[in-house]
Amino acid sequence: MERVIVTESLTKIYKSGKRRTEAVRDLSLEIKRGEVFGFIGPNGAGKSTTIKMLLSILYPTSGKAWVFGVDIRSPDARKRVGYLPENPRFYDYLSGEEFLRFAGMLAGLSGSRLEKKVESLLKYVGIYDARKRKLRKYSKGMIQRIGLAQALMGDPDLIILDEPTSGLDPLGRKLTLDLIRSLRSRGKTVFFSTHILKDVEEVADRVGILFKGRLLKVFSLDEERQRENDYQIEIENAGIDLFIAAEKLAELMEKDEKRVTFLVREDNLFEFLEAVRDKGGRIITLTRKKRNLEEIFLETIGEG
Amino acid sequence: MRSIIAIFGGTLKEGVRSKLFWGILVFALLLFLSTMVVSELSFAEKEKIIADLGLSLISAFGLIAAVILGTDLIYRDIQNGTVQIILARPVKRWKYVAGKYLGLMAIIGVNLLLLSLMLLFVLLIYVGKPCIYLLRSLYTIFLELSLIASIGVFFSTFSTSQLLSSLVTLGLFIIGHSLDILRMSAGKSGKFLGFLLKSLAVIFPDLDFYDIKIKVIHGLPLESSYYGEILLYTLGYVIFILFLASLIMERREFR
Repeated sequence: MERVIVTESLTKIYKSGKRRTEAVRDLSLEIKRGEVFGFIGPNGAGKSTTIKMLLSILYPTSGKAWVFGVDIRSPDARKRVGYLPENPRFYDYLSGEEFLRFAGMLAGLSGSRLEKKVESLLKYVGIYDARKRKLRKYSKGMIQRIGLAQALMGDPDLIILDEPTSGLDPLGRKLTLDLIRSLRSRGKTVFFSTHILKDVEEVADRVGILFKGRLLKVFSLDEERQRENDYQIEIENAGIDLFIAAEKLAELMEKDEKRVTFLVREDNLFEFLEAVRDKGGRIITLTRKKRNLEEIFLETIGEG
Repeated sequence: MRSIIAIFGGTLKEGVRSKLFWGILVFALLLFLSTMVVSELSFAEKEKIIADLGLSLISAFGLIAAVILGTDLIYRDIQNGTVQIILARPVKRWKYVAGKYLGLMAIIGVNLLLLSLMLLFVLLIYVGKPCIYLLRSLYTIFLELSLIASIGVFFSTFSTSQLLSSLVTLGLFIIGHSLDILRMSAGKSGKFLGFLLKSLAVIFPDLDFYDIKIKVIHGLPLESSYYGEILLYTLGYVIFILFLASLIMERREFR
């Protein structure tokens, strides 16, 4: 599958006098076509810095990156990209319609194609009725909608959204998440950063956890959800025979002198329990393991 | 090219919708009307007085617009983060600078055109004839403002204070009109200082070169090659200054 974003050891160090701040360190990542990738991390983790490097708004201190196979240093890398920054501020003296026309021209549209696109996007994000109103009179939610519309100008294949749901009311948040889902259904790639984990759980296919500038973990949400059906089983009297039998059925989590804890997938549960019985082990506890993204996130940054 | 047109159009709209633009027009109209009163108090020829005062006012208001808008347009885009939305598109940074500058020149052009029409109208009413010959002076005023505006744009690409940029641009305007003093001082100064002053006199644009107001009003002769030469002189400076501004933008990062 086509690789839409590739980064290799991308690093950004801010220098201010003698002070050096490592905003992003050795970030290597691949995003494939059609993915919705949630980029999560606490404030100051380096999410926006990474996004801005991909768009050449900031320049990497070292490392390389490509968007659609084009080096990010070339403006051509941004030909098929739409971007919504965090807390966007647009030209407030323009009306919604005028601003979208401006964004469309920057995206290379003109004439009737541009006019049609402006109209359809205004309808798509639900602010067609406010199209003649100046942006300075728009509410925060409306600004975010016009921001989404301008990001979609030119029908980009990659949409990069920086904290798209931050500060939105429930309706605005739902609209944004629905829009991300609809983009995925149209085969678009979405790369979005957020610190709202619930949003990621709702729409992302894969997740990257960034903490203090380091990418600690990248995982598929589907696989993690599979792991929700794992069982944590604590056993006494586990002899060597049981260990041999469990090797293919379970994952060893903890071991002390008396007790052993295994992590067992649901598919292997009955086979494992039979093995425990046959090999003379005694089950002390059996717990269904259900981890949500918050737990994974906290566990990951705890290790990081 | 489309991106330059988009940025040009956006900038022009910003300018003509700004309070500064309309403020200048209203204030200038009031002052033009007051020149008629002044001319009544004078024994000199009324046409020359109104024309002299009118051109000086146009020049001053044009300068205010060029300095304030020139130092503000890119600076504000950077402060507001709007520049990031533009640069996230496949837009080359020099095109952004060019679009902004051309938009600014259109604002100044429209402003100058309206002020000129006001002046010519006042003269037509008061003197009873169209003083078209003043267009020659308005042409050099426009070129001088183009140069000043490019300096303002240059500072706005890296300055962290619009006030400071405006003051420095105004300072350069004053120096540009005082190069004769620099050259004279160079002759009287020591070797090093003399060299420094001479160099400054070469580097800075000679803005007195644009001042043909007295000659135009009094019908004094000007070489026919002057109008072409001053156009090339201005273009050379503006392109060089915008080239430097683009280089700075190219290196700049936006956090």
